[in-house]
Amino acid sequence: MNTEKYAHLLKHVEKPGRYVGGELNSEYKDPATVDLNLCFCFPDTYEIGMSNLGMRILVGCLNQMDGVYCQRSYAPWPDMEAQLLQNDLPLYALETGEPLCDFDALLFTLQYELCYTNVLNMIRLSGLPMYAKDRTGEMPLIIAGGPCSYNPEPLADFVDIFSIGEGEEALCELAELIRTCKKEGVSKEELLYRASRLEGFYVPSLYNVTYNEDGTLASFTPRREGVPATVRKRIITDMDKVYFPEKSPMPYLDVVHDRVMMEVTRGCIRGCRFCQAGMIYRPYRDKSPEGINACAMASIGHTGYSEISLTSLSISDYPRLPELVDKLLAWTEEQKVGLSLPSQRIDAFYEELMEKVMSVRKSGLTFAPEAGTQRLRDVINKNIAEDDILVACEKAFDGGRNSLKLYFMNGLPTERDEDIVGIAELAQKIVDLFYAKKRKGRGVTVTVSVSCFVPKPFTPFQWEAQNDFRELERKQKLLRDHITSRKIDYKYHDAKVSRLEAVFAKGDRRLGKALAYAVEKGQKFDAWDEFFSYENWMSYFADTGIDPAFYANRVMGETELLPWDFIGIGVTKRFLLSEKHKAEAETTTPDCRTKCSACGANTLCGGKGCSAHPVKEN
Amino acid sequence: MKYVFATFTKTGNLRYISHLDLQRAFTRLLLRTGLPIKFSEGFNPHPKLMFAQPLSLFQESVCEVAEFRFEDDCPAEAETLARLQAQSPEGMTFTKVEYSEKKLPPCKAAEYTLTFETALDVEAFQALFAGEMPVVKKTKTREETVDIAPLITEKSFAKTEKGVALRCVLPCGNEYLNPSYIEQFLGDKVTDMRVMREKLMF
Ligand code: SF4
Ligand code: SF4
Repeated sequence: MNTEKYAHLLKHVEKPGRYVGGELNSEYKDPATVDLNLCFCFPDTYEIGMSNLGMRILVGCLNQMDGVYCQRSYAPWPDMEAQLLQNDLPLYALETGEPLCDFDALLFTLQYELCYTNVLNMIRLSGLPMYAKDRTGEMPLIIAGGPCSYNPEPLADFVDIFSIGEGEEALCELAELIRTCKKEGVSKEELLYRASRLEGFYVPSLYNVTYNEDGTLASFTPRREGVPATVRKRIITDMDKVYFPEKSPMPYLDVVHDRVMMEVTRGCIRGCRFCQAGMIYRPYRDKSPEGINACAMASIGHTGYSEISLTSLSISDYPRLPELVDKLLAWTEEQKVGLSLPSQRIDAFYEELMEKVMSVRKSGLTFAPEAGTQRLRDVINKNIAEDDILVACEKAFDGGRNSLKLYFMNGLPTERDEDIVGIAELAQKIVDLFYAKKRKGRGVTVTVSVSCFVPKPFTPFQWEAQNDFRELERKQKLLRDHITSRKIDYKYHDAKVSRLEAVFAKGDRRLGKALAYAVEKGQKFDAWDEFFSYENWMSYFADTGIDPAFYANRVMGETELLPWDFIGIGVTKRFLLSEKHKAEAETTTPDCRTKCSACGANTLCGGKGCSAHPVKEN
Repeated sequence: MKYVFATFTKTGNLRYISHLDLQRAFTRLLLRTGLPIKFSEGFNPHPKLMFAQPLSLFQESVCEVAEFRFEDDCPAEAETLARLQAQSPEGMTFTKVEYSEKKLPPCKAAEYTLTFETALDVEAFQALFAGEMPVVKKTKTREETVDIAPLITEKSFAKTEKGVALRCVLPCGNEYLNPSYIEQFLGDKVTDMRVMREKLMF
């Protein structure tokens, strides 16, 4: 972009490189000659946005369309925001510097609840009204998608169209629809109506919501005939045919994930009951080793990166992983390209594979048992036995490692104090395991990282209440008191942050007024310690008449109409409920490969059944 | 093994990219060329790369020099130049490639064009450079006031649309003077200074 207009602003910001574009492989088209100008907006910093694989994929995908130009924009850090406001300049796109208010549509990706204020702030900084109803047909459409759009309601007042599910095909269809509507000159109202009739799109203004006296939802109904009562998510059925950005923009700045990220699988065969990703991305699908290998090779050639990381929710469940790793190692070692695998499962076979990979580059080992006792691991359906954990740790130590990280959660449903003490005991056993043999080196470090359970929509725990944050803080202290070894490094999350997450995760559209109010008061970057303020948020809720406990700390009734029930993810509410009951009975459910539990997601695969476990017709 | 000296520009929006970030981008550029780059030994092999004189954020240059190494079997200089150019991002143009048996000698001085936005005319502006020019230089451990006037040599002033342009030579190496000290000295007499490094002297 031509930065002359912004040169005097950029001199006064900490990291000007965030705001100038010009990265190698950026896409250049002439905005004046294309039919449709889109801007993909990431509601967090440039460094975080540039690390997001989903955004890279979708921007690349849209730019493949003739006559469509998709640029990029990221949330400006407050120093840049102040400069823009002082100089009365709107937020702009990085490729051409065009103000966001001049685009046909802005596409926001919602990666976490705590970015909602940034979404609204970016709309505001573009010089646009925050509320969808206040934006005319001449103004850009505001479109949003990503993991948080599975409960889009907190942003219902601000977003014109939500994209539900995987975007590669859906967004191209939507772009086509907007292009047609633009050509025909139809009204915004008509465009929204047509969009609501495309599969996978939700137009919040076309639904009527009523409430019971106790504040729960009474009804959620389309306002117009033809608008679907249930919005079904979209998925890609053939992962080998899906677009992959081999040539995506190369950041200059030191971004979070600065390497080639290769998607291996989508969905997960396991059904951990707290895990939203495990449900919303069902069914499990994967790419072939040949396809991944070819993509990886091309990506290295186009970028010059010296590291490839394989991304997957649970990579050890990819049956062809050994084959893939061999294919990759056949050329990466020679080219001095490192390979990294996510390491969240405990399994001795996987550890051997890791060793092979790590001969190129050694990095930390992480395991996620999530709970400290077998009973609680059964409740959450984390099918790992303590012996598995210990065997894998032993193997890792024998292989020369002396540090590992364990992830746990506090506040899980049915949790008792003994489960928390169990975390300390497990960590201690691992430390003892290290010292049971004579080993070289400086001793062991076991990091115990504990987050707070946040009940999420579309999980078997969606009805649950989050522990009160004082209770969570008590549990954090309890664990602290039971950790005695100095070899154990204990880290925990701020319970107040988790509480705000829970409010928005389980929220409904009445939260919109608190969000708008917060943004007007200058609230932003809630995911950043330096800007998060629990006290501020409590006052925003109080001033707008919202009781955060109603959302975060109330058990929802099993027959209650939930704010996100109108979205169809494939997995049925009946299945989630049966999983809830099994959790209460402390019984586990096998993974999709062992046995299909008929969750309903197979209906998304067009009768073929799931690849993890093809369902036989009966 | 050969040393390769590549001369390139860092202009336009690349002035917003720090030296550290440029180093990383340059490494990746080298890897994309497929040229027979020599890697460092050790656990985390990477191309051995050096720059003649780092350039600060907000400054541009038409004469940056990078030094890296080739394995013995390498293409002619012209081909290397073309392959580097084919991979260069916006704002970076390769102008020269030279092979050498020896390392790059230390850089002694650099010539700059400094373009100031100022209300002063050339005479009044020039007068500011006539006497002592004290600035506060910060090092890691202390602050000291130094007179930078003797370090600014071969000055010539010219009028520009929005102020004055100064062409001058500043020392590199131990005596290195960052042009930003001149802006610091001038304080509110200028509203902006653009830096273009024109030539490196070895
Ligand atoms: S293994 Fe469990 S926690 Fe991990 S993605 Fe799958 S369901 Fe979620
Ligand atoms: S339908 Fe069966 S195999 Fe498919 S995702 Fe659901 S439980 Fe797994």
